[in-house]
Amino acid sequence: MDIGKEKEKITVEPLKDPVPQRQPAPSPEPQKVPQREREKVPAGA
Amino acid sequence: MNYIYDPRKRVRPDPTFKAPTEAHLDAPDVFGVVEGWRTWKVTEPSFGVAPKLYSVTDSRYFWVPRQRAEAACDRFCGETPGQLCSCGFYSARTLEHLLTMRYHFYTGRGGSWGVVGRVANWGGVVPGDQGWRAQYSYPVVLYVPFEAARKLGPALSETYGVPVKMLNVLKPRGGSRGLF
Repeated sequence: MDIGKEKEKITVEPLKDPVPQRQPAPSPEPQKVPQREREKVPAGA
Repeated sequence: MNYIYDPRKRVRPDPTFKAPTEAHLDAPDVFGVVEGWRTWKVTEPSFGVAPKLYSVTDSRYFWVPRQRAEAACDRFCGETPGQLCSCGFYSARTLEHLLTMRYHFYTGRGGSWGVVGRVANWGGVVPGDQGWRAQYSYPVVLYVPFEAARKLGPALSETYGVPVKMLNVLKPRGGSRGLF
């Protein structure tokens, strides 16, 4: 590619990252799992 | 306004002052990025494979999605882009100048399309009258031909994380329209 007459090299520092980062997928809301009812043990068993 | 010399206001040298060394002067010349225009070759995605931006001059090289492209010198000039070398990522200052070099192509023959776009350049950059040679580069926005918009647009935008628009490069003054 022809970029014409070249000048002195410069240093360019981006103010923010020019590469787009993939957004993390939102984590699903934790579902409440009902606690298992304690099994009733018949007396004298 | 006349300046009246007052010896009491004379600035005395600071005994703790140290002259800046070269390390102190190693500051960037430009904050931000410099943007240019370039062309890629893109093959239509098939079988769920994401489309990639291939170099039009080196068919083996493609730009890795969501990763800065870093130039490497095959002549080992030391610092890419070398001032006395020809390495680095090239981009034109204007779309008009890019199109005069005829890197773009419009056909979908063989499932390949010419895609033009603006790129951000940073790191070491050699400015030219008509463009840039850069150490790091990444696309900012891509322009696909009308006929390839549906096939390439959404997939390219998702893969590289940049907006994709339509542009008829054969009629660049016709304007562009955002699509995705």
